[in-house]
Amino acid sequence: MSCAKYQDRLSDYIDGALSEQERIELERHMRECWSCWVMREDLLYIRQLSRELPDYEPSPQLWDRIVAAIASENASRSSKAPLRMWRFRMRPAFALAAAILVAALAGVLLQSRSPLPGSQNANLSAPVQWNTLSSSLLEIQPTALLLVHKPTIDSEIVEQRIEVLERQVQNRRALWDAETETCFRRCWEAIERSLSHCRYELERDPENAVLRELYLAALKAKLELLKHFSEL
Amino acid sequence: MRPLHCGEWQTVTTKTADSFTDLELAAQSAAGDVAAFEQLYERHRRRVYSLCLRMVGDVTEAEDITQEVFLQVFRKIGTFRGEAALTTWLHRLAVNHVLMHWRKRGIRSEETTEEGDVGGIARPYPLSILDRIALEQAIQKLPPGYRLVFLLHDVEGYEHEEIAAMLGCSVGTSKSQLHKARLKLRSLLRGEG
Repeated sequence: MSCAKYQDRLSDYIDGALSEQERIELERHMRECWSCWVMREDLLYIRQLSRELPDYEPSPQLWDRIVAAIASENASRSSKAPLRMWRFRMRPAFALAAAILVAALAGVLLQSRSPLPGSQNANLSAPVQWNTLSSSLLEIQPTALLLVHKPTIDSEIVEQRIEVLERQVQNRRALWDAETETCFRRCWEAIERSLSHCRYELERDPENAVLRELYLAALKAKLELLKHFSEL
Repeated sequence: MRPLHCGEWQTVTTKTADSFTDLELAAQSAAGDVAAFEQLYERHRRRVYSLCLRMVGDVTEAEDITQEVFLQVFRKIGTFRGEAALTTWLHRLAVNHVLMHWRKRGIRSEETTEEGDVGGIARPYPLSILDRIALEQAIQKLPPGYRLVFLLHDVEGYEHEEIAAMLGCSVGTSKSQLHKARLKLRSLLRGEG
């Protein structure tokens, strides 16, 4: 048999796909044929090296792009969309939009839990309209919200008020039913994530006025949330 | 698939992410939990992206394809039943998207690419100083069809039967393409391409 014929079998040989007889025959040939032996060594080395090739990392923005595409798809069919819990980890590019969205979160939430808390007739067991809530959030236009959420009070004042309300909420929390607790926790975590990202971005860019506005908007959302739940 | 109720949400979020299997995360994703889907993305993004990058050889295009793959997974995640590994599904989707990408660009899988010496070989002796960079460059110079089979078999570790199923070809074709790919790589690395 010619070298070419033997070499045709080399891939099967290094993958262990030859029959015993074929393998012995090929090995016998390679002991006498330098060029076939070198080819075997080369192919083995290429295969070994290929298995050690590292994985590459896509850019951090790729996940944000995927989430944006999903949100866009969901928004286009929001009337039929099932529950969507947007608890994705927000990266800087999304921190701004997220801060805007959570600023509206409390407002939408309050509307969905009528009658207003504090009322003797308030039906606390009524489920929150998550479908409505998520659909509403998806339809929010960030630019419109920027106009709506102009800061009118200083963040320090808001933070002081938040501290007071936090204590009140903690006192009342034990009385909540599971639905109310879940509802509160969802909103709370979303707002906290936004605040945390805003703080992070502000540390890097403290003079950024838009960031400061968004931070204040998120704080106000937190304040509204606490106000609402402190009365439950 | 049953959607998660509000009360169950905490269970999902308080368990450590690593404790969920792909199947569990897929079920949560199908119920609308994007955090669960992000966890799946975190687990598999590198392998999918690397496969795409090596197949198309362009960072932007590789990211676009990876994005399409994960979007499609999100859309169809409810159909994932765990019979096969999620990785296999992801790779199959990646391969399909790459083939579509090539088709759009009028690239035939058997087409040859620019060839040349990529260096990194001590001839005529075995490949003693071949390094990864030289191999990566040589892979990019393989004809697309050879490259696909080579990446799936030698880099990703799929069997010929699996590759044949992914590409809709025979096992014999997959074997033949792989052998040709390896010979071509050898030739490129020896500067004989």
